[in-house]
Amino acid sequence: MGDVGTAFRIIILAFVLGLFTCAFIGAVILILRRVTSRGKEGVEQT
Amino acid sequence: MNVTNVLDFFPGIHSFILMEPGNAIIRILLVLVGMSLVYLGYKEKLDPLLMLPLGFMMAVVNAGILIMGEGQMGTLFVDPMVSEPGKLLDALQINFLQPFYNFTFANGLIACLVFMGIGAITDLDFFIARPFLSLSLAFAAELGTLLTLPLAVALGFSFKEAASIAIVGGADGPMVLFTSLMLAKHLFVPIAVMAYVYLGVCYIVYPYLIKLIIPKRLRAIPMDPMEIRSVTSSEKFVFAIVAGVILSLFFPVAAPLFASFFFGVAVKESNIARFREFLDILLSGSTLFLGITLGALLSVTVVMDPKVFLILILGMVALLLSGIGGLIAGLIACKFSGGKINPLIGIAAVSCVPTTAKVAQHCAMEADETIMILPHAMGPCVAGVITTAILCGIYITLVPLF
Repeated sequence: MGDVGTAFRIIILAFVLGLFTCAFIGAVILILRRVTSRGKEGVEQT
Repeated sequence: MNVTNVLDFFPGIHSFILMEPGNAIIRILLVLVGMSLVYLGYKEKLDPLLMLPLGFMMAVVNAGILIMGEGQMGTLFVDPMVSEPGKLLDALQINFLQPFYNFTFANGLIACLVFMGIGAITDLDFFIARPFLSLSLAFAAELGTLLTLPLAVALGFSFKEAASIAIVGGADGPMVLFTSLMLAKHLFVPIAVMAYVYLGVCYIVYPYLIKLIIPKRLRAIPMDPMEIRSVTSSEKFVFAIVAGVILSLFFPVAAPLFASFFFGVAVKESNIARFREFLDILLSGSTLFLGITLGALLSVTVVMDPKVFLILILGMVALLLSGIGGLIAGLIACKFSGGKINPLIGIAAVSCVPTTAKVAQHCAMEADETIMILPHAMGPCVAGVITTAILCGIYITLVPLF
């Protein structure tokens, strides 16, 4: 059995890590959007 | 021939008489609940794909309890508690669902197979079109996943047990199965069964929560499906590969889940017909055996565990808190967009693809018959799967360190 204070430390850490990971995934999508749209332009030019 | 001898011809009825009265009453209730779940599934009030096998097996397994050797009560379906090698070998040869339980449940395989199948039917269009809105709503809808953990600890559960219960707030069955198997194997059966039954109940409970929190005029805000930008198949394919690799790198303990889901998505987007057809059948088969095995596990011996009652309450609290978190985030999004976003898409962020998105659409249509918010709701709904998988990975990694 654990204590409630430590449980709150776990969820605060989980919140921060989760937020960071979600932001990272969001950023990856934006980068991929640019890369794939640039690829499409390239195909159109050739 | 005395009465006891006559009852020996009917071991199921005999076991009723030999049981403690409290257990016998709960056994009858479980048979009735199982039959009710079958009926509600048949009438499509609850998800029939799960409720039909689960409810049927739940009713049958509780009816078919008999006295085994040494006066112990048991069934010929499955024994989740057996672990000693000799007894396990016996159980594998006697209990007809034991091989499914040991070779697909106890190692998390069924969770991964279901998740792979879900990936193969998940459309990432709406999520990729508005990633930050979808992820923000989905993360807010993890409120129950976060707050239930300290609540469960306060009620006497260990950190690992509490994390396994809290993940029910993510409303994704495969994640609940996986987390409880990794962190609290001894509570895996009640947590998994409760989670799947509750996910079916989302259909019924969430509309009341929505009506309580969101005023009718906001529920009727129209959202144009044509506003969503088109996303190319190659964009979705590349995202699935990159996200699968990155998330596996971040949380290796949950890598089987990430790999399964994003592989399913990659198969869908690569459009390999044979793989897609196979994953479709795989999802149907896995869901069927999941329902059958979960139902068979729901015998009176499992339900009588004193921790089950607390798990039932905490599971419901987790789902309600997640629903509240999603709806509040929906209201905030509505406010910041100047009233252009229907706050109901917040409930879809709880995940449970596609149930919550359907609930959002249903409640929107109750407010205004003409509006269609389902495409917009699917973005947060899919993002909810990803955020739950992320939190699942974080819990499995983080909790054992404390």
